[in-house]
Amino acid sequence: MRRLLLGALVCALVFYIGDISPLSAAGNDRFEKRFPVSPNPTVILTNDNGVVTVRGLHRNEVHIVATKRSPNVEVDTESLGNRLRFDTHWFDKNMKPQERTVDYVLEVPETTSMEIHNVSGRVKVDGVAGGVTIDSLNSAIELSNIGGPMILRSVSGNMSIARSSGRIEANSITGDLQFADVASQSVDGSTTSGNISFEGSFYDNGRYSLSNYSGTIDVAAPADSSFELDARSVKGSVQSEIPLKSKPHYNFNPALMKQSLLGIYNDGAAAVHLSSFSGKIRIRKK
Amino acid sequence: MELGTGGNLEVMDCLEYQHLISAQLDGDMTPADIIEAERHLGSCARCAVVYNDLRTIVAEAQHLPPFVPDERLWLRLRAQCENENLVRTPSKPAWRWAGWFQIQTWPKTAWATGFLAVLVVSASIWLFSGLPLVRKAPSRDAAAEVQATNEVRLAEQNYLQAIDSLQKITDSRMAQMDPGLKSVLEDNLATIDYYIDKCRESVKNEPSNALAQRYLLEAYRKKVDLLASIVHSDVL
Repeated sequence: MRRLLLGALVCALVFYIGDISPLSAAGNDRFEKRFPVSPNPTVILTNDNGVVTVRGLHRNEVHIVATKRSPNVEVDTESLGNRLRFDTHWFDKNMKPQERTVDYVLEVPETTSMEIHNVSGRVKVDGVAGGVTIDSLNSAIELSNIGGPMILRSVSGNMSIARSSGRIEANSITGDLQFADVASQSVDGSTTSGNISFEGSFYDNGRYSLSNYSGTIDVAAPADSSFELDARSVKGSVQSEIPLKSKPHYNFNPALMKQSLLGIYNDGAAAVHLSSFSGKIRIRKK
Repeated sequence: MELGTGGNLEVMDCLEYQHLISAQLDGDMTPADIIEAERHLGSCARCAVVYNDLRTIVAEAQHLPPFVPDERLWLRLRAQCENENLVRTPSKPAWRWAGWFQIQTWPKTAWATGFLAVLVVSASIWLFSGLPLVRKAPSRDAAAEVQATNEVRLAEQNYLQAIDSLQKITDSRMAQMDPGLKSVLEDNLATIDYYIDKCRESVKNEPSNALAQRYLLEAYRKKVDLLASIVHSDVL
């Protein structure tokens, strides 16, 4: 009998703890809500610190789950027409960044335009076609299957963009930029001391511009691609494993030719500009 | 945190503003655009800095004497465009050539001597340089070099002015910032400063290196961007 009572007590305790755990739907530390929207909504999220995960789905609703680390933080929501805004507010200015942390999981219609401002943490967006704008101080940014334009700015976070086809504008200072399996007509990637790697297709009439000050720029182009290459470095090196039809350096001082490579691969249909101040530029076949 | 996106829902973003900036400088905007642009400038320090810089440059440029490029510059531009197939020289009919020769007052022997001299000089350059003539890079003449250097200096001054103004505001903001975030920003500002120094050194050593000049100005722009984003940030 005592054992039974003890067992019941343990079970009750477990259920009680489960009920007040941070992940509990009924607990104060979790916020969850669904907003019905029309196609092509705009969702804006402003957060201080935390992991932001966004998934595009075949649904006409926005589903948000926010997990807070402190009761002194609240999630403010605003719905104006087909536009939703989520803001993290904290009540105590002296709170440590860890206490201000809110992790967000958003499920949005595929056609959503996302705008995310996240100071630090990680931002992950997958399957959104309406465009993604992200700015951050040191969040790592991971995008995949994005169909619309991407405007990304992170001071020190690394960025990776995979399997995406929209126009890309990615800027960082000390972060790395990684483009994998990208099928975009326009890519503009710039970092100061980060590395850049690009694996993807070059489209006819597409424009691809990658630049850094130091670090490597590594470009892997498919054998059937067609592009005109303009690769230059002030103090670094340029190396191509792809046979290029040479193009004269009309604008160049001959002394600088070692650090530059102008040439055409196949018909030269896309324009590829690579530049580095003191880094290493390398072009190879995929 | 909004890093130079203008951000605010009710206000146009930086990209939209950039499309209007030239019309604004020319005073050629609709009343609705004027209101939108002013609202954007009120909320975006970065665009305000760019606008003020451009306005200063336009005002200063009005006091400059008209620039007349020398004949050689046009000739080099034309030759370069033709080499790159950007323009095609129409094939001239024989009659025009014939007519041209007919109106010349120079004796035919002088033309022949001149042509021979050009041929000898070209052949000498070709022989001693070891490079085909069409691939010989045109050297920037001293005047063009001085002008480019002056332009870089002017741009540098404008950037330094903008940086100085922004730095005062960011210093006070950063003093109140969380130490972790402050350290990230300081590290990144130090990275940019490092490359500003490196680029200045390169430009000093090779004043005609256009790529080094571009990198120098780009480094300044990055610093202005970062400082403006700290000023503009609602979250930091």
